[in-house]
Amino acid sequence: MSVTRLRIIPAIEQSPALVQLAQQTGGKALLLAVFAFGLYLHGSRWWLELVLILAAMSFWPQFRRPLLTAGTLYWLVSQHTRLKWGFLGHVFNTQGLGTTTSWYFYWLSLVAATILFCAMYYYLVRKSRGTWLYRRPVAALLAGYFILLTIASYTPLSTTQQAYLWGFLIILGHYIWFLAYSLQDRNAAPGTKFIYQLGHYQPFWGGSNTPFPKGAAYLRKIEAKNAEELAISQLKGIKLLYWAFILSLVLGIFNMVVYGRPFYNLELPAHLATPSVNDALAHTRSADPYDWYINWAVVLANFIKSMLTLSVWGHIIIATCRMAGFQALRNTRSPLRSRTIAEFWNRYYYYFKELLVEFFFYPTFLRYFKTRPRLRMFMATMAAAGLGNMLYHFFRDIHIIMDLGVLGALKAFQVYIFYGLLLGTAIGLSQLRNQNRKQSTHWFRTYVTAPVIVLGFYCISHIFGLPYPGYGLDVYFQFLMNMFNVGVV
Amino acid sequence: MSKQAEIREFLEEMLNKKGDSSDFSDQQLLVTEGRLDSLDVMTIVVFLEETYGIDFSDRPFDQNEFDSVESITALVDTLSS
Repeated sequence: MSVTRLRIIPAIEQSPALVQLAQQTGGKALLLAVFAFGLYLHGSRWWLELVLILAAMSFWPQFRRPLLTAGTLYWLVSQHTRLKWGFLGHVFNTQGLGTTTSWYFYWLSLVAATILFCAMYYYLVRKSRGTWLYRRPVAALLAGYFILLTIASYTPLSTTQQAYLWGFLIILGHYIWFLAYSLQDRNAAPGTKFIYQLGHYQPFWGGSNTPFPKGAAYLRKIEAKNAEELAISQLKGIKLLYWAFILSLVLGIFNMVVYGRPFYNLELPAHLATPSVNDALAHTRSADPYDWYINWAVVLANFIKSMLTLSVWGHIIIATCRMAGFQALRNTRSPLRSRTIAEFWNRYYYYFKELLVEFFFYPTFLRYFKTRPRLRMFMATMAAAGLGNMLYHFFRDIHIIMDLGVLGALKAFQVYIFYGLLLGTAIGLSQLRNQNRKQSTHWFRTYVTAPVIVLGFYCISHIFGLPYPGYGLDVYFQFLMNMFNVGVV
Repeated sequence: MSKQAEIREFLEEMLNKKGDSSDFSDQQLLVTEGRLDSLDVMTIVVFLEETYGIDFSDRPFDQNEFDSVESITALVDTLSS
């Protein structure tokens, strides 16, 4: 059965007239204006700066890489004054450095040390052909980072030394997966100079600790090679930005109806007043759980909100990246169309999944259990969705390590460790089940049964993967039992 | 059948299983375009291991080398020589 796709936003990149127009000076200016308006609609505080960088990249595409590096450097400096890198500012203040050291000196010295470390490690690996370091540079990097975290947690250092060591680890943590992608590109010919690779270390188009969209090798592949490709990439960027705006309207209305949050200063006289997951967990913990159907509403609403939020966020980043001339794939791509647990994982947060696949799945798959194909696939999936997923979040939540030490943080991470194991097992089994299996052509199974099972699994398991609220695993299980009206205290 | 034809046939079969029957050229970047994902790349690895006896464990792995019929053929030629 074929389903005709309804297009809310037309495929403007397929119009020869528009592609032609987008290659001319006036057309480029028009595209930039339309994109700027889209960013403004999204409420971006930095729409003007973003569009100025994009304008430079549009009119001088031959200098795209230097401009990308310059734009990202500008972003690093401007974001620093606005956001102060969140936790880094907290470290600076709590360690009492404010009286002896200027914030700018602290910040700049740490950024310089991190860049220097990344460059030195990259060149050291490149020069170490034939050694273990050359073959396993990412594993060595992650192990070294873990050792430094342990040293920072347990070595008696002065407050200044603590502030600098933790500061370095915080910034390196921001960049560690970007450096990992650079290391993977170590023997590419032709490669990308390290100075230009720095241009997409936390690039100006945004992202998280997960590199959007991957590393230098991928960017070389998707970079517009001529004016026509740039025009198509930019038209796709505009399309995605406006699609994200439509989704953000849906999200705003959803939040208004479900949670009672104001939307464009509009408040509903009556709404569903659905509690948040943290609120529901807190009620469960204090032996005053919500009714089972409210817990279901909590979980469902949270899952829908997460999907919409991630889609809007990722689409804006990729739209900006496309405007810069890199035709990247979307981060979230129709997750509701997933027919298997493994497929959803691929569609929900593409670049995070790619990171885990590149640095955990491939190395395990290529080296271990080669004589046992099913075990090989399962263990590689477990290494990615389980171990890699846990490690990524453990390093990301460095504030917990700083508060509790490495061992305390590992204990506090029990819920996420369970989530990683659950996810790894489910995706692994899903992969095995789908090997050598043709897609089902049965309508009911394709469009009803499979999506309900897949979304049901992620909907419920998602609560274990939420940011750390400080509760033990027992609270989550109690909450789950409450959902099924079992074991209500 | 030549190596290139064998690899092409394998990729066609894999895409068909995914419900993708659109035509593609030997130079087309199937992973970059999103028609194949990183897990499909592993299926290709297994095929190359079993068909040509290639061992990927001792060299840096680059997903980009598995992007098109042409790049896979070039990789097989390099590693089997």
